[in-house]
Amino acid sequence: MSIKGELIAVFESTHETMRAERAFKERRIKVRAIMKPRVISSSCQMALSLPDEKHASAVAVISDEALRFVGFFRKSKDGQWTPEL
Amino acid sequence: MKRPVYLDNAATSFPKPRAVIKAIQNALENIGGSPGRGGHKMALTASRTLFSARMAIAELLGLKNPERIVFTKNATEGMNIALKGLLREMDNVAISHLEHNSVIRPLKSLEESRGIGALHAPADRYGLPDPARIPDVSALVTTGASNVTGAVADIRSLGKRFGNKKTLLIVDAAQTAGSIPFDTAGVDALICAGHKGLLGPQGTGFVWFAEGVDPIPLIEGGTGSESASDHLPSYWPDRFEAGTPNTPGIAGLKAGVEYIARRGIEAIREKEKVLCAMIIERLANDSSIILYPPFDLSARASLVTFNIKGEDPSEVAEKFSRQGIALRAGLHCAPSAHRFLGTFPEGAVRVSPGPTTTKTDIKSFFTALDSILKNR
Ligand SMILES: Cc1ncc(COP(=O)(O)O)c(C=O)c1O
Repeated sequence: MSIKGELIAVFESTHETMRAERAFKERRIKVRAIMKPRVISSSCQMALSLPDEKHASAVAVISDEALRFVGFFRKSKDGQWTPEL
Repeated sequence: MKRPVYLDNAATSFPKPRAVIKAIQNALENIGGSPGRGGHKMALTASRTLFSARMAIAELLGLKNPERIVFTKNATEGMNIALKGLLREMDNVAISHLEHNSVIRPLKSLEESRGIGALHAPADRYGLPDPARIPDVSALVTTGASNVTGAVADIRSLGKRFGNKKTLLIVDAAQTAGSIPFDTAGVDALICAGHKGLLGPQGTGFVWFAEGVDPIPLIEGGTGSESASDHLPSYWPDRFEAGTPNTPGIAGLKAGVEYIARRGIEAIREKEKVLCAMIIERLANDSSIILYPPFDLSARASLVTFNIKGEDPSEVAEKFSRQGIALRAGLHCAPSAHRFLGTFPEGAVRVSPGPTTTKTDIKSFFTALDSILKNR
């Protein structure tokens, strides 16, 4: 994981997360489905963890596939999750 | 015991492809966990199973927005979600003459609870809605193909007519999905059984809604999402899938859909037509048999309905059963179709070949028929 702290992408629903997972894999963006941390308020229980260097390409996939996206979040050293713009 | 020759595929398909059995077994052996509930590996596999099943179905049937595929336990549940979720107080509904009780009974109950009026749509000679004469109603409900006569509705023309109309087009594709290619453009709600032409196990089915067609959910409960809220989530499919789904069954349904995609709906249709042609040819040339229309193979699903003159259809089916042939007699849960055919209340005998039926099976049916007719 990068020194900046873990980066995750959150989607509207489980179905949408699965759709994102498939779209990322097709573009060779390695993601891992994880339990979404509770502090991130969104309806879906899951999130996709992805490598930092893939952030930009992930943004492109989300837009190309019109994925119902909630946002990116990053975990800081002190364990806080904050929205990544 | 020797397994009977199975000619009741219109009720539920049998035997299922090996891949279907294996997928169900694999799900039972390896997928612990509930889809959308929990993030451990097996729960994720369950979520992926439902997701990929929706994608495979959407691809096979040409449905947009796969998240709008709602899994149900059969076609009946799907039809209830559509009718009770979409129809409002005092709406008027037109139906074909050939509807199954999965349509008739919910409409009856809606007539009593919401004052909904149901009438027969102007029909073609086979009892199906005439696309040129669509009545001014809130919804038209039609079977894609009758499970009694086999008559196939012209969904493409109906869809074209309905494209930009306010009237909802609700199609019961229990006898068509996976068996007969059809165009879903203009369809607002499509109801399918998973256990018939799509070759999934019993206990599976789904209903799909077009974009902008948003029913009120039939049941509420846990979805694994938005759990802190007292309300269902607003998004698809969670909004319509409260409660733990039939994950092993859906895994089997997915395998069935993939099997059909590999063989091709067209190819299956052509093969079944050949089998139906054999049956029709044999029955049409027998003066002791009454064969029911349509006779044109391209206008009928893979089933042939007949009676032996002067015999009770149920007793005929029993005689076939004793000879090792499984077929179905009676009203087939569609009394209105039998009224249209003139076979109410005694019903008729129905032979329905499926994707795995062979010519040898049909020949066994002929042998049994010969013997039944000889021993009258
Ligand atoms: C035309 C038609 N509609 C609806 C149904 C009901 O299907 P299910 O038994 O899956 O609810 C059937 C099958 O019995 C059918 O043939």
